Amino acid sequence: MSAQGLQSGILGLMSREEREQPRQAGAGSLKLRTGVGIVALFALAALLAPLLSPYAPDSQDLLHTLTGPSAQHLLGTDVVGRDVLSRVIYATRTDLPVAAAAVLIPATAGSLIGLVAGYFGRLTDTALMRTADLILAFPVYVLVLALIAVIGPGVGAIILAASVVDWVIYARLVRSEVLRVKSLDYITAARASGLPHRRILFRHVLPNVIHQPVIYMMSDMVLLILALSSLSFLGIGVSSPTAEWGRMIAEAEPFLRLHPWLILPPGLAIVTVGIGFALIADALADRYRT
Amino acid sequence: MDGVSFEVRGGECFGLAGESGAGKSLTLRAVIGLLPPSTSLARGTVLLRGEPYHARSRAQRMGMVFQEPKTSLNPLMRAGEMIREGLRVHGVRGAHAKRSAIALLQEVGIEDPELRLRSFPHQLSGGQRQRVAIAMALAAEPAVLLCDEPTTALDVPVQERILQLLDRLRIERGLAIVFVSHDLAVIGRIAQRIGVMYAGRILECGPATEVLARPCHPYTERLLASLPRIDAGMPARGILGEPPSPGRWPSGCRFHPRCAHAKPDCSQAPYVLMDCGPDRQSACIYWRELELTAQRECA
Repeated sequence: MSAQGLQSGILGLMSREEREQPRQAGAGSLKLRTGVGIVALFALAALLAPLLSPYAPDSQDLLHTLTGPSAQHLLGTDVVGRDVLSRVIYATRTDLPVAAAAVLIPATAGSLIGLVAGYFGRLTDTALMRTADLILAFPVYVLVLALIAVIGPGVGAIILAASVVDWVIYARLVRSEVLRVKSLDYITAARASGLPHRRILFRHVLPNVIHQPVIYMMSDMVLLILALSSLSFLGIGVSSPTAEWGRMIAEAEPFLRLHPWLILPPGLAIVTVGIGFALIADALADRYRT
Repeated sequence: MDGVSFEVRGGECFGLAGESGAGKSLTLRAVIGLLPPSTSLARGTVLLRGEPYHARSRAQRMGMVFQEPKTSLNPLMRAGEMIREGLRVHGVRGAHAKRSAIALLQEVGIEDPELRLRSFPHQLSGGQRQRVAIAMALAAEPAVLLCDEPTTALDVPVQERILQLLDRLRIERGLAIVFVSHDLAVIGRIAQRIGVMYAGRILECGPATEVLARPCHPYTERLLASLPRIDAGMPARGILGEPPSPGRWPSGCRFHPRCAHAKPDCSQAPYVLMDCGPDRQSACIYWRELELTAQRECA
């Protein structure tokens, strides 16, 4: 998948009006290109992991442990002699899809809930948004940890826990936008002309509010990659031997003093992909502010 | 707002005039059944061709055109798509819908309609947007067209062309039009009958030419006197004081605190529209005694 392709894919999610406008040159565009480029690189790494990795991610070489960077192992080996570069590359196959699922599910559900709550108002609104407040009243990580304690650790538990918590933000975001758009004349006109609610919601309201959740999804990706790594670091996310950045940091941590380079590759991977998504979010938000 | 009642006949334009906050737009929204949620309970009936009208009923429709062309069209939909939505409600689809959309755009005087079908609102001028908005409203073949100050945001020459268009549609389609505006000049130009609203009540109504020439209510007189004039060579005279805010209406005649002719019992006057001529009513209890002129102060 090329950077251009991914960029047009993301713009495809944006409004039609946005695509019609001539692309702005300058800082906004540079930000978007850089962000999309970084994310595309990681996506490419995930897709082509078997081709890019010099070794299998879990093949141990007990004779060469903790070697440090060398010609054979560009980023060295870990405590059981696994190639660090291969593991960092393979970890994209865990971190990105899990984070994406944990963003897409609550984003879709939350946006729909916000749409319905904002549009219909009254009792529907009260019921849905007070439920949201209820979830918001809990500290996020306590809720996530409690949920994982009940369902047991693992990728599925993390996606489920994130979905339970995260939809609230999308619902509130979309609802407030719907309240703004709903009072505009073209919505009144659509209602006056007798269009069914479903059509007004999906043809008139949703396209005019969708930019908000899309922008937030990009920031949310950063948060979820961090959450996944943190939970794995704590030992309740992805378990060994699956390659995962947070897990790799946890495994490198005992050797922090003697072999500090071990912790850098997964750490830098998290930071870089985070910057990539943050740049996209920022550039998209800029486009809508002007 | 209370006791607002009026009647529009087919092929006729009824003008609702009054200051901002008089309840003109609210009246229209009440008619179409889309009051904003903050408004308290409203009661009333709307009869369309003698039958009760509901906003979601399919058989008989009303169309609505709004004041602000910037927000009256969905910024993300092409003109053609928006018009076709109205047609869908009416059961017209496919190639037939495209032909109808082109015909509608032609009818509202848009040049090059096939090209304009594909235009987004930001590619249209204010006047063109209002024309598209009118075409959208017409797509559902309404019997009544409600216009909420459709010309207020436009330049005067464009205003005039939109008024001409509405006039033509009224005659050709036998459309009943309810036209709300604070601009008496515009109202006088388009409406056959008018109602003058103040503080949520209709104070005077009747044939446009007569009401504007011989007002039967001091408020109408003041409103006419406050029209800016180019020819008179003297500043227009406004109305003293501020219009009252909803919920804090004065007792009796709601206009009496600002009325130059107010007498003590005006503050107890009941609200009744009294016949004061053929097809004319006034709510002023002294309409008979007052010598009201359609006032050119300098004449």
